[in-house]
Amino acid sequence: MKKLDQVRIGIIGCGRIADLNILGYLDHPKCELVAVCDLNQELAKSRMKEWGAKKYYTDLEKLVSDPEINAVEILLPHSLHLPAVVSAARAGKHISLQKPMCIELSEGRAMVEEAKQAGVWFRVTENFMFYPPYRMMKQMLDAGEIGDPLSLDIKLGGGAGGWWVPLKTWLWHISPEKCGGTPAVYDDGYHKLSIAKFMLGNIESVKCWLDFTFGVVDIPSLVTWKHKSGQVGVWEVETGVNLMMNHKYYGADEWVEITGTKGVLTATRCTSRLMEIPPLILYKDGRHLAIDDIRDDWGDSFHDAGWHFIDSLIAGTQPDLSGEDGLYLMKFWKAIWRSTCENREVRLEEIKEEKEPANA
Amino acid sequence: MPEFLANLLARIAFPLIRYWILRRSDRRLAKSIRVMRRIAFAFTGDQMVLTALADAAEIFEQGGWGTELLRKMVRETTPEYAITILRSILRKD
Repeated sequence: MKKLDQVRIGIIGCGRIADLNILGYLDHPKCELVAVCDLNQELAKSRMKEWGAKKYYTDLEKLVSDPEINAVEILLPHSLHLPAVVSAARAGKHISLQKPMCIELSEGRAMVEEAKQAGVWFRVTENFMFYPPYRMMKQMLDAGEIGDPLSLDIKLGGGAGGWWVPLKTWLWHISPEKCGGTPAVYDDGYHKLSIAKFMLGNIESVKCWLDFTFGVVDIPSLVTWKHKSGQVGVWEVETGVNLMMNHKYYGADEWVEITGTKGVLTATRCTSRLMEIPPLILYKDGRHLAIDDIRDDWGDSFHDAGWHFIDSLIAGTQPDLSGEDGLYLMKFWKAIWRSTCENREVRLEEIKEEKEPANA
Repeated sequence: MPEFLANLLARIAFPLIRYWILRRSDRRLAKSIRVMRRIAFAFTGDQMVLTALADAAEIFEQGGWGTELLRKMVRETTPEYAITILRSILRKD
């Protein structure tokens, strides 16, 4: 595919998370923010001024047909992803789509096909994979610092507080029809599933237990899985309503630990700063090595995800987190849901792309 | 707000909010929230309270899936959990 000299980007959807997704596009020397788009005209206008865009739109079709724009970042509710991707692909724009990819796997497949036919790059953005301590963790893992990996443990602690998110936004996130899954293990969980795959590769099978608070919020939950390469993974999800988080963003934080045959790697934070300890710790040979000279703000992961997209378009290469990767993570989620509904271990190969009957 | 007061208010407020959301129509709720918004802002001067209640009023004005979901949550929550959340909100600095 053709390399670009300059990426001229349009942002579709100017809600809360756009504050972070925009970071990498604003300071990349080869990226120009051309336009923003939101149904809410007031919001679109204020974002245009705030980010220094040239123009704003309230109609997605108008933005994608703007000849000045050659790439788009789509930050819309999940149920709107398919039509937005189709419109952008048919208009010849390269696409970065906010995770999770879709509601049904068939929609995700349609997106991949549309992008392929249109000859545009397509990725499903997930920022955790670009969080600098996780990148370094992966490098150390690949360098054999802890020997052969044996297990991956993820702990998500939710708490009180967090930055302001409009009630309407929370509401569609917890609506299964609008969101396409559950708010914790599917919507936020997509990041953790992505990290599991990033660190230890493809998944063989999953077995889970999801409980529900308020009848719709899947907390507390426990997700376990086995990687194809033999390691086991576990992800514990809980929240404490009176647990005040030291946060700039959402009131939640993650703890990721990989145990190997000769050491342990621990990433002690991500979304927030639950503990004031180094962001990455390596234990081996009876000693702890604290790594604290790396960027560790959650916003850095969004920034770097943006830069990666621009760098890939400039180099004419597929950005990480391709459409196929997005589909794979969706299958991971579908296997989790099936395991919960049927109370059994589910192999990922059982998950097919055809539309399935609604779960109980 | 001191903990004992936040606790007391949360205990009193929860059954009222629950009754109100489950028994009143969307339109009446929206109207009441608009009135409450003005009163709450006059007392607290808090912009976030103003925006949150404006959002809530808009959700009930629109009706449909959003209000159905809210009612489901209110119906299914345990009083202990809801009181803890309310207490947490009331105590927030």
